[in-house]
Amino acid sequence: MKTLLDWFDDRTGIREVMNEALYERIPGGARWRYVWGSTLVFTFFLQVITGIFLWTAYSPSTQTAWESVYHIQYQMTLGWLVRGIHHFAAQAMVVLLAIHLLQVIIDGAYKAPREINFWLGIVLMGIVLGLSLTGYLLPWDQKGYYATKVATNIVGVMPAVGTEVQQVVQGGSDYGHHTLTRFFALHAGILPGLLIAFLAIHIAVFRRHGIHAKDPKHAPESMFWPDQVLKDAVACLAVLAVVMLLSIFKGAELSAPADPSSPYDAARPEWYFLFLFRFLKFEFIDKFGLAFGAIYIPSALMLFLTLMPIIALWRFGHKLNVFVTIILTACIMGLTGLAYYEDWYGDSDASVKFRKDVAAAHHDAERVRELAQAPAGIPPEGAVSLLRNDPLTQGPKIFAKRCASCHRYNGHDGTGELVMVDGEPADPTAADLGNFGSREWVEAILTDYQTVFAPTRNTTKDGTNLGELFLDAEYEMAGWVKENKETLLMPENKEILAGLKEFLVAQSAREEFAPYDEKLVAIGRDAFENGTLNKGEFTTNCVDCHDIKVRGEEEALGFPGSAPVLTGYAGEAWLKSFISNPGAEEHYGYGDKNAMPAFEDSLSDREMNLLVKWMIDDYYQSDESHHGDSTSGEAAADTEEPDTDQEPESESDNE
Amino acid sequence: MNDSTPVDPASNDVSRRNFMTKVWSVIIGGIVTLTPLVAGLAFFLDPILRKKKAAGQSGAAGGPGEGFLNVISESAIPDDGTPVFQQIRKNVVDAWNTYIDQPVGSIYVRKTEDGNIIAFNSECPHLGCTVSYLDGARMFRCPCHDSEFELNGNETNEIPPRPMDELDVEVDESGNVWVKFQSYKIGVAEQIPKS
Repeated sequence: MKTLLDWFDDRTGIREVMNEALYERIPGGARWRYVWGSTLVFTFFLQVITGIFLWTAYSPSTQTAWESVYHIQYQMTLGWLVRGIHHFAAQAMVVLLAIHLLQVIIDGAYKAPREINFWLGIVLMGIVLGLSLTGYLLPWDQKGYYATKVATNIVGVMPAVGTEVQQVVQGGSDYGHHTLTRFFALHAGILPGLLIAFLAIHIAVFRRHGIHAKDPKHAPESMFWPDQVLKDAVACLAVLAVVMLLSIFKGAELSAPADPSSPYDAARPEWYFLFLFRFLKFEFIDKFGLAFGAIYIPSALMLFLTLMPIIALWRFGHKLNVFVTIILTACIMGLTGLAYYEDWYGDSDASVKFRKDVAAAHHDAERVRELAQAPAGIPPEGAVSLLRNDPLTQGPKIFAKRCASCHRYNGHDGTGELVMVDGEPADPTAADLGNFGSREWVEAILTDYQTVFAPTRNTTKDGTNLGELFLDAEYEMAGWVKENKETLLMPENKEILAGLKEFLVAQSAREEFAPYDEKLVAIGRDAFENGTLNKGEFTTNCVDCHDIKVRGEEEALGFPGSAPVLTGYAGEAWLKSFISNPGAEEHYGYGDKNAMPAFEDSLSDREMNLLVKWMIDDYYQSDESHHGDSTSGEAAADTEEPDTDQEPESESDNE
Repeated sequence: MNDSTPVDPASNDVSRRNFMTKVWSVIIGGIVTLTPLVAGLAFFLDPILRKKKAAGQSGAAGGPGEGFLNVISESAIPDDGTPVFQQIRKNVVDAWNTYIDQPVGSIYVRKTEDGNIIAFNSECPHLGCTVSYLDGARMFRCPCHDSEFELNGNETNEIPPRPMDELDVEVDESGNVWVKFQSYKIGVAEQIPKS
C-alpha cells in the first residue's frame, strides 16, 4: 500500500499539497469564530450539488419554468427536499455571509496586509447576492416575478445608462423568455464560475498571510487539521440541520404562476432585502427619488465598506469602522424588524390589505395546485392559463367588479370583501345571489318575496322608488305571493311546496343540485300547471302568467307576455341570457320595472362564461375540496350548505 | 510569510485526543457531504424510482376498463378477414404537461375465420418499424428488414424474434371494438410490456 502511495505522490506531488492544505498553523488555537468562512464554502457546496441536480429537471421558459418547478416540488422523488435545501441554504448563505463579514471587521482581519483579501471578499458578497437575485426569479411564480421586477426597475433608474442596462438584464423591454434564459445563464453558469474563481483566489491569498488571531494568547497554537476542521465540520452540520429542518417542516414555497395581467399586491423582496424595502418607504428618502435611496445611498455604504482598510490606517480608523459597522448592523436589523412587524402586526389599512393579499395569494397557489393535479393536467401553453380560465378564481372578481355595485353574494362582494362607500358599508340595491337558483332560493321567492327583493327599496328608477314598483304592485308576483303564501305554507301542502321547489330547480339541470327527486318534480309540475294542492286553492295558477318549456318536453306551457319566462330557469343558458339583457321581454321586459343594465356588450363571452360557471358551481373540484351538494327532496328542511369558498379571508393567515 | 512546516502532532499526550478529533472530523464531514449527494442521487434516479401513472389510462368512458380505447366499429371491419390499419390516440403525460389526444401508435384489427375480432400492435418486434399489410399476398411484411407474418400474427421467417404482439380486444353491445393498446420491448423473444 505504501509503495502505491509513494508512486502516486511521486507522479502528482499530492503529499506536499495535502500537507500545505491541512497543516496550517493557527496561533491562539482553533476557534469557533473562524468557522464562518468554511460554513460559507460548505453552503456553496450544498448549492452546487442541489443546483446541478435541479438543473437536470428545470426548464427555463415562460411556459415551462413554473411547471417544471411544480413537477420537481410535488411529483419527483425527493424533489421537495432537493429544492428545499437549495432554497433554505440560499437564505443561510446570506446570514453566514453577514456573520463572516462582522467577524472579519470586528477582529480587524481586514486591515493590512489583508486589504486585497477583504476586497476579494466584498466581490464574493456581490456575487452571492447576485446568485440570490437571479435564483429568486427562476420559478417564474408571482412572488419571484414581481419581486425581481422591483429590482430591475431600480437598475433602470441608474443615471445615464439605466434604461439600456435594464433592457440588457431583462433581455428586452419587458419580462419574457429571454429574461429567464439570461437569469438562468447567470445563475447556473456565469456567477458560479466567477464565484469559484474568486473563492480560489480568496483562499490562496488568505493562506499567504494566515489567520489573523485577535488574541494569540487565547489558547496554545493548534493545527487546521484536525482541530479547526472539527469545529468547521460541527458548524456545517448545524447549518445542514437547520436547512433540513426548514425543508421538512416549512418547505420551499411556490406561489401561483407569474401572471403579468394579475398584480401581486403582496409583493415583497426576500427577507434579507426587507431593510432596503422599508428604507425606501420613508418619506424623506422617497422625496429624493428612487435612485437616491436605492442606488446612491447603498453605493455610498459599499464605498465606505471598501475604504475600511484605508480608514484603518488612521489611529482611530479601526474603532470608527467597528462603530459604523455596529450602527449599520443595528439599523439594518431594526429596519428589517420594523418592516416585518408592520406587515404582520400593523393596524394600518396598508398592513391589513397586505395580509389579505398574502392570504389571497396562498389561496391562488392552492387552487392552481388543485387544477394542476386534475386529470386534465397542465396544458401545453402552461399553468398560468389554469387560473385565468378558472371560474372559481375569476368569477368572484368579475362579480365584485360588475355586479356588486347593486347585488351582494352572501352579504359580500363575491370575493369576501364588504362593499363600501365613503368608508361605510353600502346598502345593496338588488337581491343577494349567494344561493341563487337553489331550493332555498325558490322557497324564498314563493313564500318570502318581500325579503328577497327588499334591497330594491334602496334605489329608484326614473324617479320612483324601485321597491314600490317591485314589491307593492298588486297584480304582480309580489301580490301573488302575498295572497298565496299562506296556502303554500299549510302543513297539508308541505309536499306540494317541496314539489314546486324541486320542479323549478330541476329546470336548471345544475349538477350541484342533483339528484332531482322525480316524484317531487311531477308533483311540482302538476301544481305549476294545474294548481293541484292538497288543501286550498291558488288565486291564479303559475302557468297562467309564466310561460315555460319544461325540460324534456316539446310543447311550452302557458303563453309569454305577462311574466318572466321560466324555461331553464337559473341554468347556464338562462343566466347568460338574463345577464345579457334583463330588460328583454322574456325576462323583466314586461311592465318596464327593470333597473338592471344589459351586459351583452360590456361583458365579453369569456367573462360571461367565467361569471356564470362560477355562479352555477360548474368548475373542477377535487374530491377533498368538493363541498356537499344540496340534497333533494327534503320536504321542509333545506340542507344546502352555504358556498364556503366565498367566506371572507381570515386575517390571521400568516406566511 | 507563513511557516508551513508541519508541527509534529505525534507527542503522546495529545495523540489520542488528536486521533478522536480526526475521527469525528471525518464522520461529521462525511455526513454533511453525503447528505445532499444522496438526496440528489435519489432525485436524479427518479425515472426508475417513481412509478408513473399514465394520463387517462383509466380508459375512455364507456369502455370495458383500464386502458381500453374505442378504436373502430365492428361493421367497419371486413368479413373476409382483411386487416384494417388504425391509428391510436391517447392523452400523453410528459413530465408536467398533459397533451390531449396525441397519436401514440397504430394497430391492425381484423376478423378471424370464426368471426372473432383480433388486433395486433403494428410495431415490428424486430426493430420497431411499422409493419405493412400486403393485400395481394394476404400477409404482413415489414419494409425495413423484411420480417414476415401470417394474418394470425405468427412469423414466417427467421428475422423477427417473436410474432406480432396481439392486444386485448372487447366488443360491446353497440358493436364498438375496444382495444387495450400496449407497446412491447423490441428485439427480444419475450413479450415485455413497455410502461
